[in-house]
Amino acid sequence: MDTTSFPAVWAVVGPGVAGAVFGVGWWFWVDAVVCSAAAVPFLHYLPGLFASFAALMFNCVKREDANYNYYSPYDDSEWRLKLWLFVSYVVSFVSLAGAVGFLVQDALTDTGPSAWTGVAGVLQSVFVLISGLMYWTCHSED
Amino acid sequence: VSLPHLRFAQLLVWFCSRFRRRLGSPIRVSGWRGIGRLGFRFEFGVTIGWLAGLAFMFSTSILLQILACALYNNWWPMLAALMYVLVPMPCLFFGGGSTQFLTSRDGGGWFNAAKFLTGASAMGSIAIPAILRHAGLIETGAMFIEFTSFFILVCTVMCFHRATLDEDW
Repeated sequence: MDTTSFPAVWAVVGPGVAGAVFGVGWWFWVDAVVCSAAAVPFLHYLPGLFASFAALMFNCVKREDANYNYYSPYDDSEWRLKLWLFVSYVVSFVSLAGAVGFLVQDALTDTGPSAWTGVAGVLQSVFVLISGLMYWTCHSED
Repeated sequence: VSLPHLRFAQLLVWFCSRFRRRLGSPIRVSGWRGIGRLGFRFEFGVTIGWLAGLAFMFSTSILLQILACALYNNWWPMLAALMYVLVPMPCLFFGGGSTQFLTSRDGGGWFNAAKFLTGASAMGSIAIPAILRHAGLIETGAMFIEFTSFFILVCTVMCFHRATLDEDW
């Protein structure tokens, strides 16, 4: 194992750390659902699911393909990859916005889940997306 | 804390120490061999020492796992042992059956996926005691005993990985 430079260490350790951060996000949500006095509707699960799906989406694109050295046998530029990355960005944004919306709703209303459920939802989306970004930055095909 | 739990813990500690001493005895026997077998003695001694240490650490981890349940007469913390079933799965499925994938960067996408899933599974061993404590099902002391057990298990795996790589060299 090459420990002299940070990119080399990050390429080795990064996927494991990304998995741990992903686990942190989802276990926060498990904690919120388990410790909630009121039943959590299925709508509140969607931001976390969308964040996980978005992380999967932009990890389908290799980091080296999304730059200007992209070679395509169809004489196209890299617009398809960037369009896919843009769609995954939209899904990420929707999941974060939904989580924040549910947090505000849970904090304002007395019925339904408590504010901790909303906070855990936001933490879940943030940690899941961060784990996707970590995996994307350290996952480099040689 | 009632007496049978302490007695059980004492018996387990005694068993671990007996196992360690018995496993360590061949080192002294091999020490009396001729000078020509010095290299073999050294290699054999290092291996046995590593194995004894690893066995002791693993036994201590299992001991703490059981103590977290027995001391408080509350078997909810045994749920954390479910994650110990999940953690080896990416290693066996995608990592080639050894811990070499942990410090490798040339394995490609499957090794990275194995590392990702290992990290995600290992986080459950920390999350489950924390959630049980947050829900009020277990005591704070039991949660910290679980954390110590998981930490010792991780050290055991890292030492085993190091010993395996040393043998490969």
